[in-house]
Amino acid sequence: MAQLTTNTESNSRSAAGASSITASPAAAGVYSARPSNRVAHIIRTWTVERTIGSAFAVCMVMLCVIGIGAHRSTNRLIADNHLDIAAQTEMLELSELVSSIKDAETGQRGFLLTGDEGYLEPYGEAITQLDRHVRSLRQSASDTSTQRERLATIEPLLQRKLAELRRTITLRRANDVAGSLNVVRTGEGKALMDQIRSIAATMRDEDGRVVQQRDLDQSAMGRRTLRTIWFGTVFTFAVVLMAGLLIRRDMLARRRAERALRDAEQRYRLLIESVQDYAVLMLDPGGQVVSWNAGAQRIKGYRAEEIVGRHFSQFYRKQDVERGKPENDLRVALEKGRCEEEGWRVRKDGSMFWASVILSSIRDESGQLRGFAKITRDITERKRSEDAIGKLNQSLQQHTAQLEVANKELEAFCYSVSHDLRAPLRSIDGFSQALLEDYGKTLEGEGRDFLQRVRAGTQRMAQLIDDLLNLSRVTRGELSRSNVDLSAMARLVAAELQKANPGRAAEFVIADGLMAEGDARLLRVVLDNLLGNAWKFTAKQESGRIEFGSTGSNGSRRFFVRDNGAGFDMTYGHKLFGAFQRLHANDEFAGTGVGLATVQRIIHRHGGKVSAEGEVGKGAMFQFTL
Amino acid sequence: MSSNEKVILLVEDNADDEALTKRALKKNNILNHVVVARDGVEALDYLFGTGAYAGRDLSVMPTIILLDLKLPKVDGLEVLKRLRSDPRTQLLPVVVLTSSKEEQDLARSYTIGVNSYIRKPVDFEQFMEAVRQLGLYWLVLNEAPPLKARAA
Repeated sequence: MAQLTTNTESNSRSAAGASSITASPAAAGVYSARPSNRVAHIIRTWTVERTIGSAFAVCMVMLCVIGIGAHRSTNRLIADNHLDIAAQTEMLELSELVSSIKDAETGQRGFLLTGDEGYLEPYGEAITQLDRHVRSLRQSASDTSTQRERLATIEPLLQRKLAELRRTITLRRANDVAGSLNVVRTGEGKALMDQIRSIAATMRDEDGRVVQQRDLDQSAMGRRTLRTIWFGTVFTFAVVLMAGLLIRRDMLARRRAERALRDAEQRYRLLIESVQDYAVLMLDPGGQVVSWNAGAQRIKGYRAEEIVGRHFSQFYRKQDVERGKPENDLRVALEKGRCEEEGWRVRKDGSMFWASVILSSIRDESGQLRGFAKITRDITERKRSEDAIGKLNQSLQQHTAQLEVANKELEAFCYSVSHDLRAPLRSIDGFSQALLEDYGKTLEGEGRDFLQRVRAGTQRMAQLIDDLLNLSRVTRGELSRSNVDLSAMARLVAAELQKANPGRAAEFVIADGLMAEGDARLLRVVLDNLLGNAWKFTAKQESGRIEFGSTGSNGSRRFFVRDNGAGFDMTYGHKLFGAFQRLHANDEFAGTGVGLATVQRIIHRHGGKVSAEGEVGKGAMFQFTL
Repeated sequence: MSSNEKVILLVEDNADDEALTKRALKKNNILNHVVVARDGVEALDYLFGTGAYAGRDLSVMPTIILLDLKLPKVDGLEVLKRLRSDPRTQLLPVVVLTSSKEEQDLARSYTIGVNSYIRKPVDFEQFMEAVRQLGLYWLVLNEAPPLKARAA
């Protein structure tokens, strides 16, 4: 992380590079799960967007419905209001119409009774008023046909009434009081008046009824409108709420996904940056370094700000750069996707290290080259070890070859010894014997003794040669391991020994079931020697006892051969297993001193150990493991 | 030398050994004719009537061949191999009489088809005994392979 901060502070380009690059592993991680994720993503966004769209559409339709409803209902209210005002006006006009007629009639009566023209003043005014009222009524409310018909019937009545009034006034002006009163008395005027009043009342009633009806309608419509508004509002609210919840859920999910992605990216970045054993770096398509991790710093010695932006050929040796190796590596990575190799690289301080390098090209989803990932490991130690091992192997092979040659020579030598060294001995012995036989009489006793000594010497020499050949033979050849029944083998050896010296009273005590894994031929040599020795060194015992057994369990089993014979002085115990080393004079106990050396070689070849303990006059015990 | 006398072919390069073997035979009263070949070539010449033995009567074949292994020119094992691969000699009894008892010699001799393998003891008395038993066995007890088959 600290590394990244340094990057960011020191070089904005590197930071941009680093972030874009470190994002790519995460992208690569996502990439593997892409197909299904992508589909799910499309479905998810599609659903949410559809939901939002649908919700908005529904809300807008609802708002339209509510708006139109409100608009219409308000319009209607205004129109009705106008009608109501008209109806009120009409009713007022009707009342005033009736009152004007009454005023005119009152003026007429006054004039008829008094003949005073002054009474005609209200009459004249009433007539004028009446005219206005009739015009006004004609214009205004009389929108319904019945009202218009009624107005049509009232008008002639008004004319007739006015005519009646005018007639009486005219008669009175002519001072025909009686005539004018007679006209009044006919009652025609009263009847007209009654009719007018009645029709006006009917019209007013009708207006009143219409207004009332309209009021009822209005309140019904108002309630409907309110219901619509309430329903629409609640519905819209619900839709908006639902859409909001869906959006919220989606946003949370997206935020979570983004956070997860960010976390993953950060983890990858931390992982790569904290790797110490590998230099993990990114190159741009041209081979310039764009990111650098702790391992790279440790292995190559550059700090990020020193190397970011520079070409990666810097890490190669001069001669490699001259040969165009960096470019070649890039080309291989570009063509095959990957370039893997081992070779010498140069650190900042100029020192070299043997590197294992993997260079991979990195492409984005569209296949466009984004750059290269370079992972380098310092395997100088391994290389050195390998070289050392190689050298060792080589020298080992040389040694082995030399050894083989030596072995061959030794074998040839042994073969020749086996054949050629014995032949002269045979001659010496044979002709000594011939001398003894053919010329024994002419020799003195001492001469014959000398010849006997010559023969004894040759025979001893022959024995030495045989023993030496045996000793050399046990170190040659392959060890062919198998399960060997040592008990049975020991009994065979014992039987042979007893057969060779039938007079001996020594007793063999051989444990049963002594099994071992080893080379049967060589183990036979071991038993021949150990049991043979025991047999030899118990020769002077009155009752010799020779034991063969084992101690310990399978894993650490020790076999032993114990006798109660001459034994030996432990002071010289270490000499026991050396070739030609003897602890007894030859005239006491015959032997060449090669037997135990042979035993030790065989045991060692089996990976075992052999040891001896003894005491002069009390016997000896030889133990061995395999 | 009559054709029914039993001939011993002694293949031995060492004059001392030759003398001692002859002495041992004589001491054991084995008085058969002993043909001595001093190397492998001489032995083969005798057996196949070639070289110094050209025109030899091949109806006379040794009853027993005492063969040393370490010989000049052609060694004993090679002689044995040639004997066994020729129909005229393939059934002849051959006893290896040599100084060594190297495992490789034993194994190769028996593989090629030797009839017996005896190691010459250094002790002349033991050697005498060995020769005695050898003569008794191969010249007296043992029935030779049929002539017909030998000639075939």
